[in-house]
Amino acid sequence: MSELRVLLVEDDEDHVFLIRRAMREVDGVAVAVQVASSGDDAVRYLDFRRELRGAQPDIVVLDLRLPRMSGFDVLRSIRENPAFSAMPVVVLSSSEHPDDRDQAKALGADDYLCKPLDGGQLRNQVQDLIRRFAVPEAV
Amino acid sequence: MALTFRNRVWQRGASALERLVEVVQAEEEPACVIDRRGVVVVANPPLIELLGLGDDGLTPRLGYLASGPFELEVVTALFEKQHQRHRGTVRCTNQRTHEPLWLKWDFSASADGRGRTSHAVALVEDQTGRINADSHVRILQYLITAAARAKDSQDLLYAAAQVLCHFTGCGLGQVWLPDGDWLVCSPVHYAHGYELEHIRRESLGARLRAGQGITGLAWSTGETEVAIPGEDLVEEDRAETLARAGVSEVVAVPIRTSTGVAAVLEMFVSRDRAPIDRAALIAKVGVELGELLERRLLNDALRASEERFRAVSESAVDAIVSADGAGRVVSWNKGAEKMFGWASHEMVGRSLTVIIPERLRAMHNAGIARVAAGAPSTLAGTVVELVALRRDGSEFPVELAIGMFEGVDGRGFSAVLRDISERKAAEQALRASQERFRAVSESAVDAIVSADSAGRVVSWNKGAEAMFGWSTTEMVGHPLTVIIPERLRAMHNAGIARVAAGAPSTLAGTVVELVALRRDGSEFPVELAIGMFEGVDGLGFSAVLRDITERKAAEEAVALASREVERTNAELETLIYSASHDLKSPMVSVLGYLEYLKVDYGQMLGVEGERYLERMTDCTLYMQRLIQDLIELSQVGRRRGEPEPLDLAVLVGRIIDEVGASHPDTTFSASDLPVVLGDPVAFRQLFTNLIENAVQHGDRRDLAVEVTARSLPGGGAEISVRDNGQGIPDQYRELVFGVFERLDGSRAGTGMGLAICRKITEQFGGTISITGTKGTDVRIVVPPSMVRHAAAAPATLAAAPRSLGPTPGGAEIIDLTTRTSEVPA
Repeated sequence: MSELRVLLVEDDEDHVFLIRRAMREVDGVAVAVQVASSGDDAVRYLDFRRELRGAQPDIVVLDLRLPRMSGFDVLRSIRENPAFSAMPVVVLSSSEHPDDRDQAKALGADDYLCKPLDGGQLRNQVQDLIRRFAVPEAV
Repeated sequence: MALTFRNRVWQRGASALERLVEVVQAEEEPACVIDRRGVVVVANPPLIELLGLGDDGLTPRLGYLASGPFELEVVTALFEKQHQRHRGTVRCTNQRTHEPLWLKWDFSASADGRGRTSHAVALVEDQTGRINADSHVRILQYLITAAARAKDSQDLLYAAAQVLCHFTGCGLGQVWLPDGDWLVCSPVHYAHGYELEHIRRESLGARLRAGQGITGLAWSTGETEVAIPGEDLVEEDRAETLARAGVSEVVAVPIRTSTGVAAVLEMFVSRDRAPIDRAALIAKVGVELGELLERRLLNDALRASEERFRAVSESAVDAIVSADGAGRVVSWNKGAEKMFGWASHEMVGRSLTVIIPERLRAMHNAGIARVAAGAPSTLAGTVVELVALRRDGSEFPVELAIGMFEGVDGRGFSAVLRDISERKAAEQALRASQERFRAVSESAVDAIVSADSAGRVVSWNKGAEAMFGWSTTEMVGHPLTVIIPERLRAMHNAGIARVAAGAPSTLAGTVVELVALRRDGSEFPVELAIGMFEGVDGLGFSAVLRDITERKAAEEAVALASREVERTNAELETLIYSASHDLKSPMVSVLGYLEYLKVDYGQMLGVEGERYLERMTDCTLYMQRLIQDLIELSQVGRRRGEPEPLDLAVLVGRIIDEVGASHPDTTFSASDLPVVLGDPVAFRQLFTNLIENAVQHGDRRDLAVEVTARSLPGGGAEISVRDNGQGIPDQYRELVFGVFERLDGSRAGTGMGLAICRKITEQFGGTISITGTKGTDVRIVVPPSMVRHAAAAPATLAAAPRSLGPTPGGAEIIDLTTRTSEVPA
């Protein structure tokens, strides 16, 4: 079973810890998580991987409120680059604002998930997400 | 002296003829002796002189000196009938000068020795002067009579020619009339016999210049001109004709009137028919004739004028009335009949006072008397307004124009009266309107200004004086441009010109904001309302200007405040957005760690430790709810979804389903809810909050929550969310709508539910309040504009809801789906 490569774009260290832990615990799925703590870091990472002709992430989990470069900008630059245009991007944000959800969809996000307050719920949500994208290779 | 002479003859009796001759010769008065054959035996020198007898010593017969018939008459009376005296006045002729003489002969018989009358002595008295004077008078009498009979001035001139021909023995008299620069021989003439017919034929239609011939001369000089054919210069071509016709004299008499020579009368004197020197007589008559003619012409004019007057008078709507000097009506036209209700035959001869109101009669009579006494009339020639009296006793205003004339019977008055009732009423209405306008205009703080079509000020009220600093006297008649800033004047003038040329005004009837100019040069904003009106002198403009400096300042302050509020709101929104993320993130972390703490180390913490973890989790979640509600409160009204028809029965039914699931002991019911037009998210939040509130604060196990509605008279609806719980004390019923207000210390609510509800209702223009004596009754009033289907009448309440019985959770759910079909597509 191959490894699911995840690029987690998240500046909050606690959230990174909690999300990585939740992803690790998905039964039968090996998840390799690469964390970018800012938007420009994420874009640089993707460009670097492309130049190295290395494997690209199977999924990008993107927070919206990021330092220097927002999640929307990251999403936009991914979708504008033909090399990444088909890459699945899921927004995982604290914001419940409908405008944010609409804008993310408009920019090409594959899904928009609100970070739930309950720790258990967050764990379940992240694990559901991993299973969803791991399924084709898992079968 | 004559008597003395006669007596002497008498005393001598049958004295000798010689003695008679001696006495006659000594007589100073003209005298003579005739024999029984009528032969003048002797004539004394005065008689010889009077008759122009020659010195040849011939003694003519009486018949030669006077006339044959007279000689016969005298001889018969004295010598055959033996009358002692015989008298007679006879026309004779001075044999030398051919002058006509009127001589009175007074014969006395003289007897011979045998007592028979053999001779007679005559005393002769010259009566020519008297007779001539008499004939002038008689001519005038004829002329006056003829003039009175004459139909017109031409008829009079014909009569004059006839009379003069008869009295002077002229064969022809013809009338020449001026026609511009020419004197034309008119058809008017009189011919005595046929001797001068060819002269007449030659003359008719002839034209003479002023001074041409004696007729033209008489026309230009205005004096009588006489010419003797062959001696004086008569028109050459006529000279021969005149001579052949035996005309001895031609007399041209100008007939003078006050306006000049009206006609020239040309008279032809025949040599064998008339004695000479008729000219003096004719000339004298000419003057009189002028006067007669003038009077006649005036008469003609008067009659024409009277005709016109009558025609005008009878057709006039105005009353045209004339009265004599005593104020008695002389004429009364149809207009007067209609106006006053008195017929002409009733009024003529009657005093004018009947049309004068009682109280004014004394004044009227005094005026009539004053003028009759010779004082000048104060009314004549003027137009005054008075009050007149109709036959039915009603009074009405009249305009009176009075004229005075000198009539045959003294002074008279003519009056034209016009009924001005309507005009007066109109004037009064106009005055009242003007007065109102003035009152409004003068008391107004606004500037009220009117201008004519050329943009010149017609009126300028006190408000305008105060506003612009220009006085009424300075502005009236001057262009409005002085109150318009330089840069806007061209536009203003173009507008005025455009409207004056007939284009519709773009400003009339609208209110616009402009900039105006004070006298001191400062500008200020004005609100301008312009009206246009059709005045006597054409189009006019009226404008009301209001100084809106303060309002403008206030508006700017409001706009500024409004911008500030918007900015603050934007900041707030950003803050809330940030809060929803920045505050939430750490809580997500806390809750996440709590979860793993429980999973990884739960065993080690023990029961007490696990309880602490639960409390920490609860507090964090409550904090999160507070934040969530704050965000919601701030979001009310920011989401501006399109209003859509909402069946509240369906909406409330779903909420009851959701809430009821976690509150199995509570009974819910909903009935008669209307369909409203509104924001679905807001309404869902509203009823969710209210129903959750009822459940959370009811504080009893067998709680019943009821949602009902009723129609309001104006078309709105009142929705009630009622429970039978503990209720809210009166003093807190308003307080609970405040933010963070809670009546208990529990963490069941955040204290913002009702605040959000109030904000939602206010947002859609409704109200929300709390009533209820048992439990809490929250009443929401929905405005008529939002109500699509009014709540059903109360009578149907019982039948409408269909109980489905207790749900698996225990809550009783009312099926509201039956009403879904009523929701408009």
